[in-house]
Amino acid sequence: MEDKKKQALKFGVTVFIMLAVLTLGEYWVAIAGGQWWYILVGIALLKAWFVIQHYMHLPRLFNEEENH
Amino acid sequence: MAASVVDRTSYKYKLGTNRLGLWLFILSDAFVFGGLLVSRFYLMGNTRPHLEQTLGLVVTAILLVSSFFMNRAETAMAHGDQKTFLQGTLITLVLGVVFLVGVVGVEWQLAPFGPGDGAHGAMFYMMTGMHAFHVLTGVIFLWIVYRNGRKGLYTAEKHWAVEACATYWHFIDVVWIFFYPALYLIGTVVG
Repeated sequence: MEDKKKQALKFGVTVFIMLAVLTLGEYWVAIAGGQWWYILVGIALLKAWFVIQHYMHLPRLFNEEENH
Repeated sequence: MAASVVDRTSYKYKLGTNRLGLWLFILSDAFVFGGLLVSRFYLMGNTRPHLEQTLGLVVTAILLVSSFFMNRAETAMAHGDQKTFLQGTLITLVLGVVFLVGVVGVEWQLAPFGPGDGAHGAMFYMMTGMHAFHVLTGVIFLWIVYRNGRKGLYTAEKHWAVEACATYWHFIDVVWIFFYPALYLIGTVVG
């Protein structure tokens, strides 16, 4: 139980780091070359996917096993 | 032929329908924000309003960190860790309030235009205002969950309200993930 919790919390940190890096990346892209809107849209979609998949747990909606 | 019997009063069944209901609400709400995004690009094209870049990055970071603590709180509750759950929920709530102050209290005051100053003003205040309203409702939801959590109403086995609150809060973050580049980063500055 304790190990599972630590593992789950660690995964949350990994997702957060990915989101932070992507956010800094999109800021840099906008400052460096303001016309690269397609890269910014791509980064936003990637960030949204990370949050929906790993923080909002969308797969739980379709998987009855993941109940509490 | 054996027919499967569904117990509609069981917690497991209710959890499934609750999740579906919440996601349908989120989907319908997403259309509102989607409409605002489409309006922004239709009316403003490849231009954006003159806004404080550092402040935009700071409030974005605050919302991102709040999402991290919300996830931490939900994970802790799922494993029966009441203390970490309460800490995470409270930190998320405080960061939500800080975000609101940053956008409504500071950015709205610093912006060199009002809601009536053309498409840029109308879209900026409409988008940030609608989002801020959702943050406010999320903060109220967090406060209710925090208070109930202090009373010990949630367990590792039964904590649907915590899951719903976390999912709603992350949805608010997803909306800002698209609003931030749309308002602060994409296009050339005008005004």
